[in-house]
Formats: sequence, structure tokens, C-alpha cells
Amino acid sequence: MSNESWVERNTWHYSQFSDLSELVRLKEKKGVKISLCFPTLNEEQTIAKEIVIMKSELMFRYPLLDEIAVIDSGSTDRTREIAEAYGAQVFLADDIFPKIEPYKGKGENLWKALYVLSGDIIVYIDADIKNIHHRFAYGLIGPLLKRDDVKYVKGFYDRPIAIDRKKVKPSGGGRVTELVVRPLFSLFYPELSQLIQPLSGEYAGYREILEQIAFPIGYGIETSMLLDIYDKWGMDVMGQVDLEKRLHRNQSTKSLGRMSFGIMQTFFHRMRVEGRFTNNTEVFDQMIQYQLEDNSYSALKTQMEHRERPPIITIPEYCKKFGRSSIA
Amino acid sequence: MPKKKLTAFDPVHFSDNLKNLRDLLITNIILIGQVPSVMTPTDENDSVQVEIPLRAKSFSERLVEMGVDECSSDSEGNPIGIIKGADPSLPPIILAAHLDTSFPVPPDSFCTLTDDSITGPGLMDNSVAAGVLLSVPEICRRLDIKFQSDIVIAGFNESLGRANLKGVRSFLREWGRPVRAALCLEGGELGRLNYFSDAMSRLEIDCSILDEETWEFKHGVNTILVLNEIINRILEIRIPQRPETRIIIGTVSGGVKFGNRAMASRLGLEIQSTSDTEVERISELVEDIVTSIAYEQRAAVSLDHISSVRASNLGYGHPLVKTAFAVLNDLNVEPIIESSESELSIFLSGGIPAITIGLTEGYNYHLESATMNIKPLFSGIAQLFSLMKYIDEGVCDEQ
Repeated sequence: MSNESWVERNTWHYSQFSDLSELVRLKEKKGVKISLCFPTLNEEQTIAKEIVIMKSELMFRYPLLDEIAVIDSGSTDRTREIAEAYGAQVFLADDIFPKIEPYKGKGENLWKALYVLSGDIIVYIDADIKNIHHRFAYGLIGPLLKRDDVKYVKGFYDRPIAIDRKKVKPSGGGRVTELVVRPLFSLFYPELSQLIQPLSGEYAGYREILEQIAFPIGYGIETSMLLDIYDKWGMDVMGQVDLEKRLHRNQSTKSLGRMSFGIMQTFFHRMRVEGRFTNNTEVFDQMIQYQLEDNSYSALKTQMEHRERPPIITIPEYCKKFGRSSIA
Repeated sequence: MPKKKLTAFDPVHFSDNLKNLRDLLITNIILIGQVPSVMTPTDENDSVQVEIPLRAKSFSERLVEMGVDECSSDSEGNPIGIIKGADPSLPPIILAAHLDTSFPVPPDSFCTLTDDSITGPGLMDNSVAAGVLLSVPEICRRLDIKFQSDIVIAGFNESLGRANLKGVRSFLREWGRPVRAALCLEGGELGRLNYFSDAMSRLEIDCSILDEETWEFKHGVNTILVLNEIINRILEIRIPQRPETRIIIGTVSGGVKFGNRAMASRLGLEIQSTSDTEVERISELVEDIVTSIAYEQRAAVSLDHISSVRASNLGYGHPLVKTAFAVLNDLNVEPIIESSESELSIFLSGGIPAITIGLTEGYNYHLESATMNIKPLFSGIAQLFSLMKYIDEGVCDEQ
């Protein structure tokens, strides 16, 4: 093992993987299939170009992707119609595993994607990226094909902390990352704080990893994935790639508050499972925010129960389809 | 009509085949259309260390990705790609588009794709053309189109407004070799066929109060009224019907508040004529008006020559023009004929047969919500490749 830190060993820039012919060659050599999943909810403004650019560059010009699928939470706009028109496979999340009670949330879509997609590598990309570029996919796929020990890769959008010996740039997480997740990681899982943007919605991993971890339904999905992968396989199966600038919807502080609540809920749930959080500590499942309405303050209460899907390898239909022995 | 039909090239059939490349075309238009109008340094390894538009850098990188045989930049940072032809003894065919956009693309800008259109700032003028240029190498490969001449793909950095076509001027100065013909691409409008450029002079008049009068009291010289007087006098200039001549008052800005006199104002105008002499004569008259008003109205008035081009005309009788009409006819597209004071002027002034063509239909050309229609683009590109083929088979060589 070299003396380099994890950040030095397992952090890349997308341009290191821009030789797409080389990636296609590696993919063929490994004999793997690669699937791209867009989880959506009312993304008619951005979904079409995300599909077209990925299809044109990574299917038509370079056969790196084998399939592109949209897993939709029940959009009320034209997301599904447009996605279908531009050639993606479109699934309504509720229609996948119809016998299981459906939940609404991004984590639900990502979990169900494992069942409907056939790839050995699954790439997840948020559907609200305004400045979409195919680097968002090949940048994540590159390390998985080039490094046999890397099984899960996370995207981030600022340059690594040290540009050179003299110039240092602050880490580039968003508000929730810097105010919630990084402090929590630093307190309880310091190694994970090496991830520049643990909450980024762009990541890719081998099915053999993803099928063995639980998927929280809501905001906690990204945090939970990192905690579980770290717990089961350690830091060295993970990597991170600088995907450079990403433009997306800005969220209100209230929304970010609810997101933080969901993340902390997942985090403490994991702590409890690991026995690092006492079982008799009472936590509540309601986020309370205040708003000024008609000159008086009123409480805005959002019920947010921690729900998560078990590792999909415990689902018999999944095991049957993919020839797995259930670990249930 | 052109004297002969092209060997094995049917624009209508070609247009249908292009539909299979729809995703590629959309991709290139969006990828270049989303690049903001900002400057960036050239790479450390580049021979020239200057600030160039990010759009030029992105265009250059994408040209390499699209597999041109050679890619380089000239001293102004204009990206140039070359697709090698079969006969190195023949001069090249140049495909050109300006990369700067009439509506600056803000840093957080993006394009929206729907079923049949793309919307985004600067799209029609001129990201569509840049995206089509980027697609040319892949179209050639996928549809097995080969040329005898080299195809030179040139993106010009500084064209619009004050840039005064600096990009194309510098390119031609450095190129210095024979050129078979040039096709200038614009996003719209499909059917647009420019083969002549009027002489043009673009003037900007700035008016401000004199230094001794800087206090913003309510009485004194109002620079908007000074400009008003200048406009009135310009409108009194006698303009001949032949040679056809126009003065266009294009922009006016000035003032800060409703209740205060305007301390500074600006007027932009363009003189256009089929005669260089007329443009020069009127420019001199405008200069005299500006000088005299400065004295009479006790205001600081200055005149700036922003840009100019000389009149040039390939002529309706030129085979390239006749061919362009015929191709539009084959595609069932109505020609739109106007003068164009653009890259075309510089090519024509340099003795290079050149025309400007429009690639698709659209609307809100110069607004943030500029929109292009996807379907007509296939005809626009079929038109482009037909013309490239005709030029390659020698339509311009007979002159």
C-alpha cells in the first residue's frame, strides 16, 4: 500500500477518463453492462437534454452505456412523455414491485432501478442538472473500469482542496454538506469527511455493492449509502471524481432544513443499528419550522418518518431475476 | 439552375438520413449553446498565451472530440478544424460561423429542450450554426460523405458590434492561401441567402455635460435633447434613391431619473449603402453635425466609428448563387434575399466566392428566450452539404 492518503489515491478529475474509446475497450474486456438511471419528479425542463446528450455521446458515438432509464415518482408534468419521446426506458416507480406498498422518494426510485435495470454497473444522475454534459456519466464510470479495487464512485463539483502547494481552495460542499453532514462525519466517521461532496446526486457503483445495502426512501439516501459501504467494505472501494461545474435548482432554506432533518434521521438510525446511539434515546419524526403568517408565527410541521428499503438482494423477485441467492 | 446535377447526392434524401443524427445535432447545439460568454486564459501548453472566449476553447475541444483531422487556433484564438480531402492540390472549402452571440450567454444560463425545439440565449444568433459546424465531421463519417477538397471549419471569436469582424479579418490575413469558396452559417432563417454586402459604417455618439456643469441641478443642458437635435439634423441629410442608401437610428440610451435632466446619453446608428462613397459622404456629414452641435449646445459630444465594411457583391449571376437558389428550390424552401454586413463582406472583399445561409427557423432571435425549431434544421444542413458538394465538384472553379 502506498503512503498516499485516500484523497490522493482515490480522487480524480473527469478529464482523466475522457478517452472514451479506452473506456469502451475496458468495458468490453471486463464484459460488463452499464446502465444509467435518472430518478425524476417533474423534470420536464431538463430531462430531454439529459437523455439526448447521454444517448448521443455514450451510446451512439461510444457504446459505453447499454441502457438509459427514467424512474419516475409520478410526475404531473410531461416528464415521462418527453423522456419516452427521446428514447429512454420510462418506468413509473409505483409499477415496479406492485405487490410491495409503494413509497414516494428518490431512494425508492434508485432502489427499484436495481430491479428493472440490467447493468453490472449502475450510474445514478439527478435529472435537474441544467448544464448537463456526458462527463457526468463517463467521469463516474472511468474509475470503476480502470481500477479493479474501486466499486463505488461519487461525483463532486469543485476542484480538490489543494490546487497546488501554494493555492488552497475551500472544500466545495453545499450548505447542508458543510453545516450538517461534514460535522457529523467529522464527529463520528472522520474518514468519510474526505469526501468533498457526500450529498452529490451523481454516483455510480457495481451492482454487487448496491444490491447489498439498504436504501432510505427520502433525503438520507446519499448519506446512508456512504455509511453502509464504508461499514461493509471500507474507504478503499470508494472514489470521488471532480465533475467541475454543475448548475441545478436552488432550494429554499426551509427545504434545506427538511433535507437536513432527513439526513440526521438516517444518520442516527445507522448509529443506533451500529450500537453507537443508545436504544433508549428518544427521537421524534416531525420537523418543526416556523413561519410568519398574518402577523403571527405559526408552526409548519412536516411528518418525516424514517423509512428504508432493505438490501434488494433480500427480495425474492430480484434474486430470481438476477440469479442471486438471497441473503435474507 | 446549376448546369449539372450532383453525382449521387440528393438533398431531400440526405435530409431524411440526417434525422438519424438528430441526437448528435441537438447535443452539439446544446453543449456549445450553454457555454457562457466569458474570457479564459489559453492552456499552459498552447503556443499563444492570451485570454480567449471560453466558447472558443470549448469549440476547439469539441472539434477534437468530433474527430477532425487537424485542429489549431490562429493568433486571435479562432479555433480552426480541418477535415482532409482526397486531393491535396485543391484549395479548401471554408465553413464559418461567428462564435460570439448577439445576446450574451450569462454564466448560469442553460438551454431547454422540448419535443421539437431548443430555447436558450444566443441560440439563433449564433449557437445553432456553431453546433452544426461541430457536427460536420461526424455527419461526414456516419453518412459516408467524402470531399476532394479539405473542409476547413472556422469559428470566429470576435465578430459582432465593436469587434468589427476582427475574427474573420485575422483568419484571412493569416491564412494567406487560395480558398475555393466560403459558406458562412447563421442560425436563421432557413431560406436566408446573402450574396452581397452593403457598405456599412456603424457610429456611436456619446453626449455628456461639460465638466464645469457637474452639479445635478434641474436646469441646464439635457443630453437627451442634445441627441434629439443631432437626430433631427441627421434626418435632414439628403439620401439618394440610387445608390440605395439608408441611415438607421438603432439604439438610444440615457438618463437616470424621470425628474432629472439626463447627464449622459448615447446614440447608435448605422449608415448602409450599396456605394462606399455614399457611406463615406454621410459619415463626414454626421461628423460635422456632431462637432457643430457640441459648440452650439455647450455639451461634450464625441463620435466613435465602431465598425465598417465595404460594399461587395458576388452577383446573382455567379454559379454559387445560382446553385444556392437551385438547392433551396430542391428543398422546397423560399429564398430570402438581403444584404449581410458580416463575415461575408470580408470574404467577398478578399475575392473569395462566399454566401451566407440560414440553417433553421426560430423566433425571439435576440432575446434570452431565443428558440430554434428542430425539424427545419435537417433541410438547413442538407442545403449546406449540397452546396459543399457542388463547390467540391467545381461549381466555383468555372469563374
